[in-house]
Amino acid sequence: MGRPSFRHGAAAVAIGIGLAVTIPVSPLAQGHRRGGSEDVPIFIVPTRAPAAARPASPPDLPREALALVSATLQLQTTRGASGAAVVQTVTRTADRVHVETGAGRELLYMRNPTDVRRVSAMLTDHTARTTVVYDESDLRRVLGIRGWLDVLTLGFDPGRFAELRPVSGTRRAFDLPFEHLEGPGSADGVLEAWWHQGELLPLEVVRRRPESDAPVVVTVVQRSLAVDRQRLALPTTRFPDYRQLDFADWLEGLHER
Amino acid sequence: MTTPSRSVALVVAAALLAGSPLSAGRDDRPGRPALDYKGRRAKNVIFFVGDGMGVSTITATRVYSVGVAGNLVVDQFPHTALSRTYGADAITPDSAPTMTAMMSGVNTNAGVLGLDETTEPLDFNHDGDGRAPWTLLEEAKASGMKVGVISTARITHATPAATYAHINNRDNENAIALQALPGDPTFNDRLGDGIDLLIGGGRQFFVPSTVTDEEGGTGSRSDGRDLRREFQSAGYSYVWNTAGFNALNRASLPVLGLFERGHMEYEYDRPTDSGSEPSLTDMTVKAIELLDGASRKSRKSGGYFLMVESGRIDHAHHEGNAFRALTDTEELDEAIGAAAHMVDLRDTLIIVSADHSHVFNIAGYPLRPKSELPYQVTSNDPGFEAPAGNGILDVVYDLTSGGAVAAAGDRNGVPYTVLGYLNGPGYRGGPRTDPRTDAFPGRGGVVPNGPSHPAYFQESAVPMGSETHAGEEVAIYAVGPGAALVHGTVKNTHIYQVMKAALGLGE
Ligand SMILES: [Zn+2]
Repeated sequence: MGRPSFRHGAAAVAIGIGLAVTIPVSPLAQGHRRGGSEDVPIFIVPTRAPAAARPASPPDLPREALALVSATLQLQTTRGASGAAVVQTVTRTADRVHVETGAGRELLYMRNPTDVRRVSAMLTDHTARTTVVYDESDLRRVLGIRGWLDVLTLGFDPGRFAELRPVSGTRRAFDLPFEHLEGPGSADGVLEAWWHQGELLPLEVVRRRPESDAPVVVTVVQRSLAVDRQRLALPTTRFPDYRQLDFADWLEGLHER
Repeated sequence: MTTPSRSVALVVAAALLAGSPLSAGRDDRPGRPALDYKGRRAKNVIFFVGDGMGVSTITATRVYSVGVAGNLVVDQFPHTALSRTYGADAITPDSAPTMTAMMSGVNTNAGVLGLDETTEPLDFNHDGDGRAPWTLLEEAKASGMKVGVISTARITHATPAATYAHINNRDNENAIALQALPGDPTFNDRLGDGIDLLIGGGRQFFVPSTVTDEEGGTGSRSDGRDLRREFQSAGYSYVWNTAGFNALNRASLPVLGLFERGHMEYEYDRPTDSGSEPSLTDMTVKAIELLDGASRKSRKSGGYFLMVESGRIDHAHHEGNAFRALTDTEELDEAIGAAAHMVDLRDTLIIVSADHSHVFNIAGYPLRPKSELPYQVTSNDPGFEAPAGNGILDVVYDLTSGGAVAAAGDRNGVPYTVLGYLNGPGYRGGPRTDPRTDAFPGRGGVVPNGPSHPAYFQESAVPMGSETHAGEEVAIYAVGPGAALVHGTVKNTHIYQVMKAALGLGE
């Protein structure tokens, strides 16, 4: 079934594929359509192809998310058995997450104050002395972040962990027990995980990306309750002389030089 | 039909301009029309701009939306021309000089809005700015017409700003917002009592950097001013979501609508917006209702000028994502159809054009979908049973010598997509793989299930973080009084002259 055109209401006419109708005269146009002798083109409303399914709303937050303990985490990512490990420092609180991404860049994710499921971010590029603002839909489109929950859980969807089965062998770290989960591989490629629901924290996640045979292992190697509040301040306050751009305008300018 | 003389009002308006803060280096009064036009006068003009909507974008959208032989609304416009888009300093331009050209009839330099070609971006030669030509919106306002500006980008972004602002740096959007605020010392007083309707994205430049806005975003104004309040003090109705938008009526004018902190959502992503926001069609319909109603009520009955920009076709292309470029172009076509349906085309000129093109191509010799072929094929690849996007968002399916349909290959036999970019983020590096099983992560790191997936990056030949504009001509489409002036190959400044002649401004 084709999509009826002119979605704004009264003029919408449901018609089948390949058909077309002449546009009905609206009350506004009728009011000054006098005489009728004018040679005015009559536009045909096209029947358009069905629209693709739209993106889903951000995921709801579990109650643990609102009372999260602030912590500084060292996150190690290893690609393949011989792959070099990349270590990042993540400062995580209930409403802000800061990631030291290396290469002179840092990212601050901010929970939306009016709708806690939502998130925006600022990327600071110290080499370019620029702060790039990612709105919620930029994050979804560009980084695959659906909402605040995905940021809190370090990019892993707890719903995907539910597709794995619990196996014995709880691991303890940072005085916390992490449940061992395993499975044939969820939709986002997770094969194995150690997960603490109360802290919304994965200790280790093993996943395989379709573009590579080598598994990617993400491990939290350190957790400290000391938090550097400075990192959680807005980059616009920390680096007031940096240029600030929206993501789309950053792209617009990338070709300038 | 007669159109009230606009010349008297213009003289009065010009006299009022003496001593204005912007008067240095600007024209005292608009120039005379360059075109000799004796035909029926337009009472109203609606100017639609698809930012980055080159001809290949329109063709691809047509195939996607209504099939290769179908007709978009713009395809039915009776008058067309080719528009040359070069800037005063560039073969391939950005939106600032091109919209200045289309709105003021004056070609200028990259990044410069509403100032002539003796103006460098940020005045890097320190020799002062050049002259500030009148924009069509200013001339319309000075002649007693109602004026409106709509954009799915920030309302202070280059394209909408070129209708009402004069500045040597398109990025100074805090200053651009003030040029639209009646009563501000830097207010552009050619706008009289102000723009009657200003709706789109870009709330950040109306909100202090220390303040959280209605949708939880932060402002970007370092001067601490809350222009939402200041516009309200100047008599504007301010709305920020669909509830407020839906409640607008003629009595609400003048209206400031800011539906997003930054740019508004792509049409595809719009349903997930937090405050909910109107579509481009919704905004166009509402603007025509309000401006038409108000211009009839006014004793001068001067008609209206409305500029409508689909601002994010350009952004989707820069992202190397054809899907959103096509869905936003489709929505623009919807808005154009809604406008053509609402107005009386005997007194309203509608012009549609683009500011520039993109390096976006329709490649190979793709067959039309199986159901449209004039012959039976002997066999076909299963994917050809229902090629995505009527064949445009898929790989190239071609006919082999035996009458079978198969995915056409590159010189190594690897299939390729119909749509692609010369440059941009879709550069794969390494050997090519079949786009239908290509694991190259798309938008959001999502591995798309083929080239019709909303996250898919079309391939590009040159690795760049952002795909670029392109320098070829774009199309102009016109219907209504004065539309016959749109023909041939013209400079984009011609659009200004056509609108001006059709309205009889400056005579
Ligand atoms: Zn652009």
